[in-house]
Amino acid sequence: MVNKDNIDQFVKDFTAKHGEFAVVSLSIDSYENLALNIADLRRYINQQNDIIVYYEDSMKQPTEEKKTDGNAQ
Amino acid sequence: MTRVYIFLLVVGLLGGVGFGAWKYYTDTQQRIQTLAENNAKLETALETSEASINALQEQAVQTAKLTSELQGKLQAAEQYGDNLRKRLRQLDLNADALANPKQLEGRMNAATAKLWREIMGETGNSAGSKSPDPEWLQPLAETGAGDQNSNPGSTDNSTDSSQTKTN
Repeated sequence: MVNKDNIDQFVKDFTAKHGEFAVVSLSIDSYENLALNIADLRRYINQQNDIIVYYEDSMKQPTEEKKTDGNAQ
Repeated sequence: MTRVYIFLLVVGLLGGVGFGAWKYYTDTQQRIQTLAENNAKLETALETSEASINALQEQAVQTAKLTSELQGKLQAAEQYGDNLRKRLRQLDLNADALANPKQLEGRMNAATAKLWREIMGETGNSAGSKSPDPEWLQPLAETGAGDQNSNPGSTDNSTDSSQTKTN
């Protein structure tokens, strides 16, 4: 996290560690957008997982019932 | 002579009645047998139909239950994003960045590590909350503060995005 107060120290430390000063930076607004986009990806992944589980349950239950009936007879 | 004719007539009548009775009896027996067979077939068909109806009703109930559960899960999946939007509205990250950048950086790294572990757990990683931090996440020594929810002592370089391989 770099602001106007610590940027000089950051440039100095960064250059000492990496040699050249070249960074990819994010503004606070962009960081918030990135966080929201990742949250959206997470929502999408979880919803797709839930849908897959739903279809798996829908497909396997009739078969299981038949197997149960067969064992009972 | 007349008696002979009368006798023959009586015998003929009795024979006709007897044959008719026998014919009626056999025909009725055959009809009863056919009806009994048809009844058995109908009972079997009825049982099959009832079993099919019961199976369809059970399937409909199960599908309704699963659909309801799915709706709940789909809504629950939106909870993290909703909470994050609410939290970002409450916070003023610009002010925090100006006031205490090290502390904010630590909080961001802790939240990132927590999110990373949660996503790993949700996508099938059995380690879940015990999984080590990814190596691209800055350790506590560099951030300086606030990384209370992460495991600063351990790292995982299995998905290290900072080590890009080039051919």
